[in-house]
Amino acid sequence: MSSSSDRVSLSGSSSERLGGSGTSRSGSSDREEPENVERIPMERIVEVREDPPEELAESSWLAKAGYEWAAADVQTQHSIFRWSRLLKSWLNCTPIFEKGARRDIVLLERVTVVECVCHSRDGAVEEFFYMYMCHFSQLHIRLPFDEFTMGVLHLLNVALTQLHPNS
Amino acid sequence: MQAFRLLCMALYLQPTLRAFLYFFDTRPRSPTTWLSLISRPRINRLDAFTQSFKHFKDGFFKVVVKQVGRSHFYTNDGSTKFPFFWTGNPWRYKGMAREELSVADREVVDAVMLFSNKIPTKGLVRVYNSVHPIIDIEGIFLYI
Repeated sequence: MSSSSDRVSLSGSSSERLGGSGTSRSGSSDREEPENVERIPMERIVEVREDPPEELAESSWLAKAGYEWAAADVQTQHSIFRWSRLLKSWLNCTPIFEKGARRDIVLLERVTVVECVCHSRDGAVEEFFYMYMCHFSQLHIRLPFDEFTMGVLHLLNVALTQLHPNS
Repeated sequence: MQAFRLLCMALYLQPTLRAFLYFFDTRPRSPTTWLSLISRPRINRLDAFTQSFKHFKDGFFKVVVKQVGRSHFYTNDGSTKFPFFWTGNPWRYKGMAREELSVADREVVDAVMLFSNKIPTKGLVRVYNSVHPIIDIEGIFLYI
């Protein structure tokens, strides 16, 4: 049942969103409307976490060490998606999920100024991985991944961002 | 990768990992930078995805796995189904021999090798989200 309603919302989502909820929608997060429990399966919107207030202090952190095994240009590869507003504006027009897939299995988050593409979890509480926007916008990769794709990555022993997109 | 999976779907074959990788070599051999799969000349039947990926490197963001989504990304024993982060020791290989393939791998390889022309990767990936992928893929083959 949830999969059929997803399909309906996929085809008509953009007009619904623009007409129905106005500008406040893009600034609100799930936490601000806990009463609306049916929102997740009905909406195409992806959950994007807001910038935490400690962002300014964070920018004065030193660059992380311990990634000397990677090529120099890899170690310094930062991302443009350092603000949730920018990430959100891209995600609003980029399909992320497989048709009929649950949208609450992941949360998409911008990266901090010190994060590089080859960095790992580094003691973070949450479990996450990095993805490129082009995976969704150009390569038609969708979440959740199929077993074949994950198997190839596992056999090659590379992260998704470690494989050149032309592969 | 997506194109190979779809091609196998259309041929009613189970895509196997080594059968896919048989058609490629990895580059570079060192150092640890972005790893590419390079088509083996005269063997690979999928043409290169010709799109330009000049500006992909600075476009990454975080995908945080939530508790309800764990089963999609983790195996039952709690390990991840694929490396979440860059590794210092990717599998690098060149010229995989047929002997390294299992019987099931070889079946897939042989079926794909029956195609005499290059298969349009982009076209295959484009039908990925269409309603009837199998019918659409058969449509593509009419024009090869």
